[in-house]
Amino acid sequence: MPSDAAGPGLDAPGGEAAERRLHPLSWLFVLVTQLRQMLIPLVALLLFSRGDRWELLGLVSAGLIALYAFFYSIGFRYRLGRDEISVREGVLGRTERHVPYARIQNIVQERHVLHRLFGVTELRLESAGGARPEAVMNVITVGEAARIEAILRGRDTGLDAGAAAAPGIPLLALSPGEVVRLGLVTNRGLVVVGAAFALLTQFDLWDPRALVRAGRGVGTRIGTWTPAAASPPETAVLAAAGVIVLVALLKVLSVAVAFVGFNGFRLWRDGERLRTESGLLTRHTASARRDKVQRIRLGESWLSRRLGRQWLSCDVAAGVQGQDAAEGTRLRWLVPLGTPDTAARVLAEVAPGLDIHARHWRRLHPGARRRRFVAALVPWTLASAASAALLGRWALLAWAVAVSWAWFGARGWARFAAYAIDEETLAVRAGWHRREWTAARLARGQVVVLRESPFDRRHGTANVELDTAGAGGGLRLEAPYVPVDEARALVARLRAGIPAA
Amino acid sequence: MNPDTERALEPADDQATAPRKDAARSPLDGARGDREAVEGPEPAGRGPTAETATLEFRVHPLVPRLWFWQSLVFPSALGAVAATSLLAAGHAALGALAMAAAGAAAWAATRHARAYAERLRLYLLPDGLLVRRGVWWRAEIFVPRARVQHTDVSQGPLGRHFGVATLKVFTAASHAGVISVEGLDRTDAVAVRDRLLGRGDPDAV
Repeated sequence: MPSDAAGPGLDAPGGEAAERRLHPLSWLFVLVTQLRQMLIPLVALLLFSRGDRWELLGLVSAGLIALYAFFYSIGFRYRLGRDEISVREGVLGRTERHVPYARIQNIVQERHVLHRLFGVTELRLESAGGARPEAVMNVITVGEAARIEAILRGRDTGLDAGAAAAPGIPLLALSPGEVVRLGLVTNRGLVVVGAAFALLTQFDLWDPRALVRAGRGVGTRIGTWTPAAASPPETAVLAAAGVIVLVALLKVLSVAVAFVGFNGFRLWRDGERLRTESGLLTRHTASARRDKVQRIRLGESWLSRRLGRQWLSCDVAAGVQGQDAAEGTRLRWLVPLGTPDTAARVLAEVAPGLDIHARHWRRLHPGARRRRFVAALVPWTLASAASAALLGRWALLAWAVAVSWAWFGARGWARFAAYAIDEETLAVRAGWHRREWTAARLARGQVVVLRESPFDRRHGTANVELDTAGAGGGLRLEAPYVPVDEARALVARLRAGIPAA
Repeated sequence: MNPDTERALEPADDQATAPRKDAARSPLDGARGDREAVEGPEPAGRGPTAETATLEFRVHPLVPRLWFWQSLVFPSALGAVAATSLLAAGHAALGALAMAAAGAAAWAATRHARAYAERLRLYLLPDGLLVRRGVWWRAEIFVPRARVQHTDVSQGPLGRHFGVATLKVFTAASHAGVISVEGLDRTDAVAVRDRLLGRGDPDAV
C-alpha cells in the first residue's frame, strides 16, 4: 500500500524497486469518473423514462462500467524509478508507459467532496503539449501524492528532495471578503443560468410560452399593464425594475459561483515552483515551474476600479488543453482579485522583470480612434436598420445610443491603448471600461506576425503580434494601428529577441 | 497510407515519381548560386538578417492556373443550379440576376486566387521561415527556426499529379500554431522542411 511507505523520497540510487498500487477504494473513483459523462443521461433516463427497458439498459451499462473500474484500479501499478516514472495499466490490453521526470512540467491534483471524505486525491502528471496527461493516478492518499510531488520537485529543480516538503507561508491567501467582491465584479453566474436553460430545453421541461404567460400574469397583477397598451414611461420603469432585479440575482449567483471556485484560494512560491489551491467543494491544486510562465495578464473592470481591485493571471505552457482545461485545473490565476499593490507584489515574485506599469508606453497611430469608431459604427447601424421593422421610430433612439456608446468606446480605447517594448519584454494594454494589460518576455515568442488590412494600408499602419504558447484568451499580445515603419522596426526587435535554438 | 503518397513524400533524391523534373527552379538543388543572396524581405539594415543570404520560394508555376480553375468551379456550379431552377420555375429575371451574380462572384474569386498565388512568397532565412501572403488582408508570418516543433508535407490527388505540395509548420504558438503554405513545388516544400529541421545540409544553422 502506498500509505505504508514512509521516507522522504528516493531511498536507493536506482529509484524504488517496489511497484505501488492505488488506494483500495480507487475503483469507486474510477467509477465516478467514468460515470460522470453518463451521469446526466442516466439520471434523466431513470427519472423521465416511461418504459422499463431503457432503465434496464442503463443499469446493465452501469454494471459493466463498475466491473471495468474494479479491474482497472486493481491492476494499476506505478513505480518511481531513478529518471522516470513507469505506469502499467489496462484491463484487457495492458500498456506500460515510461515518463521521464524531465518531461513532466505540471502536477495537478483534483479533490472532490468524495476525495476529501476519504483523504485521497487524483494526481495528474502533465507534459508540455499533448492531448492528455502523461499519467493519471486515480486515486492515491494525500500523503503519497505529496511524496511523489516532493520527488518530482527535487528532480525538476535539482534541489534536495526533503526541502520542498513544507509549502511555508503563501504569497497570497484570498479572504472571504475578496471572494464576495470577486463575485460582484464578475458575471460567472451567467454560466449557471446558461447551463440551467440548456438542461431545461434538453428535456423539454420548459416552454417559452409559459414564460410569456408568467410575464403577462405578473403584468396584470402589477396594474393594467399589458405589452400592447402600456405607455412608454410605465414600460421604462417596469423594464428598469426588471433589469435591476435580474442584475441583483445574477450578482448573488455570481458570488455563489465565486465561492465554489475560489474559496480559500492560496498561492505559494516554493523556490522555482508556483502552486495554487482553491475551491469550496472540489479542491483544485495546480503547480508549475516559474520559468514556464509564458505571459502575464492584468485586468480591471469599471466596477473593480470602483472597489480598488485588479486581477492577475498567467499562461503556462505546460498542461492539457481542451476538455480538461477547466477553471482551476491549470495554474492560471495568480491574484483572482486584489488591490493593485497586491497584484504588483505577486507579479514581482512570479515574473520579476515583467513589471507592467513602469514602462515607456508608446501610443498608437492617431487615426486609431476614428477607425475604431467606424468599425463599431457599421455593424450597429446595420443592426438598427434591421430592427426598424420591429421597433419603428424607437430604432432611431437605439441607433443614437449605440453610436454614442461606440464613440465613447473608441475614444476611451484610443486614449488607453498602447504598447511598450524594451530589451527583454513586450507589453500591451487596451480597453475602455474594462482594461487589460498583458506582457511577455521576447524570448517567449513563438511566432511573429505582421498584418495589414486594406484600411491599414490606406492609413500606413500595421498590426504586430507576438504569439506565445498556452494563451488561454483575453487581450492578445499585439500592437494594432502602428505606423508601418515603426511596425517593421518592432518586428525586427521581436525577431532578434527570440533565442536561436 | 497509399504507397504512392508515401513515395511522393519521401525526401528522396530520385525525382522519378514527380512528373515535373525541374530541379533548376529550386534554389536548393544544383543551381544554387543563381538564387542565393536574393534581397531579403526586409529593407536592408532593418532586420538582423538583412545581410545574410535568404532563399526565396514562390508557388509552383502551374498553381495560379490551377487555383484559377478551382475557384471557378464552386460559384459557377452554384450559379448554374440557381439559374436553372429559377428559370424552370418561371422567374426569368431572377434567373438572369442569379447568373450575373454568379458570374461576378466567379470573376472575383478567380482574380483573387490568381493574385493570391502570385503574391505568395516563402523565405528561408538563417534564423527561420518567413511567409508573406494575402491580397487584401496581408500577413507576414515569421517562424523562428528554434520554435519549429514539426513539419508536414502533404499532397492531395491533384497535387500529386502536378507535383504541388502543402507545407505545414507546427509551433507551440496559441493562435498561429500551424502555418500552412499551399501550392508549393514539392521539391521546394521538401527542401524547406529538411532545411528547417537541419537535415541534408550540415551547415544549416
